[in-house]
Amino acid sequence: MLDKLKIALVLLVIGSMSGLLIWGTNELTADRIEENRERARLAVYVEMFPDVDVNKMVFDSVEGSNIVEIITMLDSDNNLLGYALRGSHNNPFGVVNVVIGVDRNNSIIDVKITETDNTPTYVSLLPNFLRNLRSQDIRDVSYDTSTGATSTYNSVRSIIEDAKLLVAGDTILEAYQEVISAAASYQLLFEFSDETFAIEYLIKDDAGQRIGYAYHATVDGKELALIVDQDDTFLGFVGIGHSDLDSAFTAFEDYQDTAIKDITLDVSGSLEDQIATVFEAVQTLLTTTMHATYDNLVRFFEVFDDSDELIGYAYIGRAEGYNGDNVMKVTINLDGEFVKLEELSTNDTPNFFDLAFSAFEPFYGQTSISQDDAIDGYAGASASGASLYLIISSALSYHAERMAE
Amino acid sequence: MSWTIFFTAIISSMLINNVVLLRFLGVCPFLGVSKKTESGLAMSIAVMFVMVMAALVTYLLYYLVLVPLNIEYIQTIAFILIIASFVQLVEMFIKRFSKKIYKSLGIYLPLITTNCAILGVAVANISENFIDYGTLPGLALAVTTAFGAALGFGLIMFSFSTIRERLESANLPESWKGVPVALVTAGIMALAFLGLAGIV
Amino acid sequence: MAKQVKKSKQELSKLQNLTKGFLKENPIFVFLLGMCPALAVTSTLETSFGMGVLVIFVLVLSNVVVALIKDFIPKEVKIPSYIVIISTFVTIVGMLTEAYAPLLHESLGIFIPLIVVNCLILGRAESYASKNNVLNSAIDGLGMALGFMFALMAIGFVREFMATGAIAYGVFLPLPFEGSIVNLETYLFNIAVFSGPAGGFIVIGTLLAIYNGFEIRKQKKAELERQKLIEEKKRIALEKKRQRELESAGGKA
Repeated sequence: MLDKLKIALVLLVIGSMSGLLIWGTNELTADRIEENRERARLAVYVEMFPDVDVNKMVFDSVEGSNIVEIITMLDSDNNLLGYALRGSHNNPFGVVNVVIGVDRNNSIIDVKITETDNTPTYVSLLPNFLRNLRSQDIRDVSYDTSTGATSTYNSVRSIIEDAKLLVAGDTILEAYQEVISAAASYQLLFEFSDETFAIEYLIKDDAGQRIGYAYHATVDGKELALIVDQDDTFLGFVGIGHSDLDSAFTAFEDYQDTAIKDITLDVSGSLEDQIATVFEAVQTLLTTTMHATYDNLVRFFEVFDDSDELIGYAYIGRAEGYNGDNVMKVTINLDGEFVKLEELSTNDTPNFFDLAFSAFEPFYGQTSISQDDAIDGYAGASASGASLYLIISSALSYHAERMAE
Repeated sequence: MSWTIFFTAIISSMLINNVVLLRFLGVCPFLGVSKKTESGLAMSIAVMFVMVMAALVTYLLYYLVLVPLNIEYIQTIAFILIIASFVQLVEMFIKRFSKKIYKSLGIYLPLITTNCAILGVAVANISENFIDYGTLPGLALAVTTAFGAALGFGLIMFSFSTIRERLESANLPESWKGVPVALVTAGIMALAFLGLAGIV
Repeated sequence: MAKQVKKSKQELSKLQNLTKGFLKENPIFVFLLGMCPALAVTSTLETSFGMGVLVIFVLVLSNVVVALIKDFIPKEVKIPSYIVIISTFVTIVGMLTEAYAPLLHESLGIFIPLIVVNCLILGRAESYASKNNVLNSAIDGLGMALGFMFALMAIGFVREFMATGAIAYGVFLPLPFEGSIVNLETYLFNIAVFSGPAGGFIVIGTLLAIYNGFEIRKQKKAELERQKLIEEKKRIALEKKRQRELESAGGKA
C-alpha cells in the first residue's frame, strides 16, 4: 500500500512539474507563436502585393462559395491595390487551399496553392499551369488543359470560377458610370511615375468604342478620378469607392462640358487647391500630347530639337509581352522613318527582352516593317519580340494614316 | 463526401505516402526486425493493432479534451502517454487471453511504444485537419488512414524481409554487409514507390 | 595490468566521455539509433544542424533530470516517468522553435514531436543517466547528442551537395548574419533525387558502409598486431625456455 502511494506521489510530482514547465513556456512563447503564424499566414499576400500595408488589410468572410474570404489590399496612402481571394476546395485526395491575387484592373497577379495534401509530385507540376493564369483578366480567364494533375487543377479551377462571380461588382466601373452612364468597361493605358496623378484608363462603351479617359490621383489619402470624354472635354471628378470628396468636387462643376485646354481654374479652399493641382497636371498632359486611337498605342507628341524645330513624333505604345505588358516609346521622323525605340517599362526576362529589343535596331530608318523580316531577328524571344513588333508597326501605320489626312 | 474517400485514404497512406519508405516513420523496427519473414509479419500485426487503436483514442482525446480545454500544446506528451499505456494494456490483455500469441508477439510490444510510426501517424492525423469533414467522418477517416499506414508498414516489412533473406546469402564486400546494403536496397524500393505517386 | 584496463574502460575520463559519441559510439553509425530523423530531416545541411541542436537540448536536459531524480523513481514506473520527462522537454523545445525559428519549425514539422520516440534519448536515460551522477550524465548527453548532430550534418552535407551542388545557410535558422548560398559550382552533377526519400536511404547506407570499412580495417590491423604480439610473446617464452634448458643443461654440466 505504502509502495503504491509512493509511486502515485512520485508520478504526481513529475506530472505537475512537467505541467508547470510546459505551461510556463507556453505563457512565454504563445504570443510570439501566434504572431509568427499570423505573419506566415499573411506572407502570401505580401508577396503578391509588395506595397500593401499589413495593418490596413480588410478581411471579409464569404459564405456559400469555394471562396472563404476576400481581403482588400490598401497601400499606406489608402490607394486600392487590389483584392486577394482565399479559397478552399475538397477533392477526393484532400483539401486544396488557394489564394488568388487580383489587381484593381481585375487582372490576376498570381494564383498560389498555400496548402494541400494532394500528392506532392503532382502539385509540383501545377506552377506551370498557374503561371499562365497571371495577368489574365479574371472575368474572362482561359485555362490550359491540364495533364497529370487533373484533380488538383480542377480544384484550383473551381475556386477561380467562384472568384470570378465575386469580382463582378467593380468599384472603378461603378464610379465611372456616375459620370459617363454608357461606360461598360475600362482598360489600363499608362502608369505614370509622376507624383501628381498615377494611372490613365481608357473608358469604353459596350460596343467597345472609346468614350473617354480617366486619370486617377490621390488627394488627402482618397483616390479620385478626373474624367474627360474622347475629345478631351472635361466631364468631372468622381471618388473611387467613396463620396468623401464630393463637396470639394462641386467647385469644379462650373467647368464641366468645356474642352479641358480652354479651362482656366479659379477655385479656393485647401482640398480644392489640391484637386486643382491634379486638374492642371492633366491639363498640361492633354495639351502637350494627343491620344492615339490605335489598340496598341497610348498617346503621341511632337518632338523638337534644341532650336525648337519640329523633328518628328514620339508614339507611346503598350502590348502584352511574356510577363505582363511592355510599354515602349517609338520615335518617327518627319520623313515617316522609324528612328528610335526606347523602353519605358517591362517585366519580361531581361535577357530575352534585350534580344528582342536589339532585333529591331536593323530596321532604323525604314518606314514600315514586315513581320516576316522582323520575326527572324527575335526568334527565341518570341513573346517579347511580338509585343515590340505590334507597338512599332502600330506606331508606323498610325503615323502614316495621320500624315495622309 | 462519398465512400471513395476512405478507399483513397487507404491507398494513399499505404502506397503513396508509405510510412517507412516515403515518410521515414518506423525505420528502426524496419531495420531491426526485418531479417526474418515471420517476425516481420508478427511485428506488423502488433503495429497495426496499436496504430489503429491509438489513432482512434488520440483523435478523440484531442478533439474532445484538449481542444475544449484550450491546451492543444500538450498534444505530444498526452499522445505518447496514451500510446504507452495502450501498449501496456494490449500486452496485459494478450498475456491473459492467449499464451501462444503472447509468446510470438510479446517481445515486440514494448518496442512499439518507441516506434515513431505510431506517434507519427497520430500527430499527422491531427495536422491533416480531418475534422473539417465533421467529427465522426473525420474520426473514421483518421482510423482508415492509420489502417492504411499499418498495411503499408506490413507490406514493406514483409517484402523487405524476403529481400533480406536473399541478401544474407549474397556475396558482398564485408563493409556493405548487414545494414548498409539494407539501407541502399530500401532506397531503391523508395525510388520504385515514388513511381506510384500518380495513382490517385 | 589487465585489471587496470578493465577499470578505465568502465570509467572513462570526462573528455573521453564527451568525445566517444563522435566515432567510437556514434548513435547513428554504430547503434543505428534515431534513424527516422536521420533520414527525414537531412535533406539540407541547415535542417540537419537545427535538428542536432534540438536533440542536444533535449538529451542534455533529460539526462540531467533523470540523473537528479533517479533515486526517487520506483522501478515499476521508470519508463513512463522517463517518457514524461523527455516529452516535457520536447514540447518546450518545440514551442521555443516555433517562437524563435518558425521556418525551421515548419521544415522539421512532425519530426519535432517525434524526438520523444527517438530511441537515442530514452536509451541514454535508461542505460546511462539512471546509473550515473549528474555531471557525467550531462557530459554523456552532450557528447552523444553532438555525435548525433555530427552524423546528421555529414548526411545533410552529402545530400544537399549532391542534390543542388551548393550549400545554403541562413535559410531556416535565424542567424544574426545575412543568409546566403555557398555555390560549389557543380551544376553538371545536380541529382535531385538525393534530396528525396530514396536519396536519404542511399546516402546513409553508403556512409555506413564507408564507416564500417574503416572500422573493419582498424579491427584487422588490431588483430594483426595482436597476433604479432602473441607470436612475439611465444618467441620470447620459447627463447627463455630454451635458455633455461640450456642453463639447466649447463648447470648439470
